[in-house]
Amino acid sequence: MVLIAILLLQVACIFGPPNVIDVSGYPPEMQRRYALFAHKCSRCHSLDRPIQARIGIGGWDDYVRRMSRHPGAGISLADQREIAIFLEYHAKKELEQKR
Amino acid sequence: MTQRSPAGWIAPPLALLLVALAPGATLALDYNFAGSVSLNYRLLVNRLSEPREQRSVMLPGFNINASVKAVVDVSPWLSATTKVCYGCHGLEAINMVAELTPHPAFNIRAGRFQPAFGDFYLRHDPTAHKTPGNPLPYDMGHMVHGREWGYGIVPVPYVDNGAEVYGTLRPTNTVSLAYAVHIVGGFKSPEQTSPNTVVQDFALRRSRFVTSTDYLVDNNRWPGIGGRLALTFARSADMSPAVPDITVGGSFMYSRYDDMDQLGYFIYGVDMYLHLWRVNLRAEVLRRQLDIDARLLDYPEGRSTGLRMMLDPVTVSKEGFYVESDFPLGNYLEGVLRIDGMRRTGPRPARANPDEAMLPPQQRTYRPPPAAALDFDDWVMRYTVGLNIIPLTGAKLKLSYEHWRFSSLPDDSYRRDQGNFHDREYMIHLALVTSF
Repeated sequence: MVLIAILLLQVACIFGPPNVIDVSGYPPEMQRRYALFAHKCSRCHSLDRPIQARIGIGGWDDYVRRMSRHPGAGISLADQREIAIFLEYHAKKELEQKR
Repeated sequence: MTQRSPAGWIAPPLALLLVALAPGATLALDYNFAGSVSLNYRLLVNRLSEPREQRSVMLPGFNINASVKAVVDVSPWLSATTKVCYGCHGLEAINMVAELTPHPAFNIRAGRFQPAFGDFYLRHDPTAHKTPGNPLPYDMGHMVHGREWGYGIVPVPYVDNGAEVYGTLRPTNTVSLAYAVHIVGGFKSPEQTSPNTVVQDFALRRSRFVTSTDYLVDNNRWPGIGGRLALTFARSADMSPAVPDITVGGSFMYSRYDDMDQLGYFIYGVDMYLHLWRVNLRAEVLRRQLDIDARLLDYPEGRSTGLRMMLDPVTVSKEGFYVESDFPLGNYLEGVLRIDGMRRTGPRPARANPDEAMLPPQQRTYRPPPAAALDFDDWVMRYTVGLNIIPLTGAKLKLSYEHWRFSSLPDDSYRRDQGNFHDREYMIHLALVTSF
């Protein structure tokens, strides 16, 4: 069991986190915000949930704010804004692609 | 007639009041609709040739857990959420709550919801936690010998009617202190209509196997109170990735669970979360102290089972823990390792009525509950290795192998024959989880 754990952890350190979405074409600051989003939000749920959420444009600030209020969520006010900016940006991109 | 606790009376009007007082309550700003479907499959590989025995010690084969959730943001400070779940207990509302969020340090929710307790309750949805089933202290139906154990210490999702005040204080950008205080109906047991329906460990029965009335409304005047405190250090964007996010928390719940307001429970625990690089490490320790009424082991004629002296003091303790780590393995895989366990100490239901010892078996009326197969000091451990495959956004296949160990009691023939206990069990647990 311990050996398996060590092996898996070593592999984990080699590869990156699952890319729920492809942000390679996003500006660097948005890629940085995506990393923050993945870091903070994966604590409580998979990243699929917010990515697939049907939040209207302009609604992400309130949504991230409310999610961050769960006891122990550990998302600072500054990080809330950064995450909301990314999700807003991504939602707009998705909308543009659908049109 | 079933009595309602103060929390049961207060919750509905408080929810309405929150809606009425909220700024801009007449205009809904936004809606969100989400859901998930989780198809589970369990198999004990060491009992492949014993199909009926599998069923006697757990729930093998397929079961489904599906939920849909609707959130209405009435205003930036008020939202209402409804979440309906279909699972082993049928269709049930596990969230029906109005939430007023005027300030990060002070928020109120009222209605039907999960009170804040521990670290796992936020991740109760199958799309959120990494293993196919809950950790043992929070198990609700996935464990081997769950009937004997009365499942976890706080079977999750634990949903109740009431209100909760919660908030987060942020003395610095990286340190926060979150609190939550709730008043709810509390756990409840079925009415003691018969001395043979012994309620032992099982205040937490939440299903409609009892009766719909027992399930949906409170059974006594005592509200359940509880709370949670969590201190978090969260790495800021300008810090090195080698600096971890850390949360340390503590939680408790207290109330009485019987319809005579006599039997209490006290549940408390501490939890820890650490996120370093791409690895999550979580650990919790829980304990439940539960009063047991020794009279429940008497018979209508007032005779004792003969074990009553042995059953004093009438308190059952159940302790549990888990340590779990999950980490990504590239773009499409996740690994999970977990060790969890529980220990139960204290009285157990009588295995036989001594007064019936002289009767032939077919004439005996006493039916020992499943917990009679446990020892006075019993334990279970589980070691889990899991691999999750993420073929596309919104879908995940969870595979896990679980090695179960139960306390070895080779001289206990009742446990072996009636309880069907083996010292070791080996389970394959799969879950296909989709979210939308």
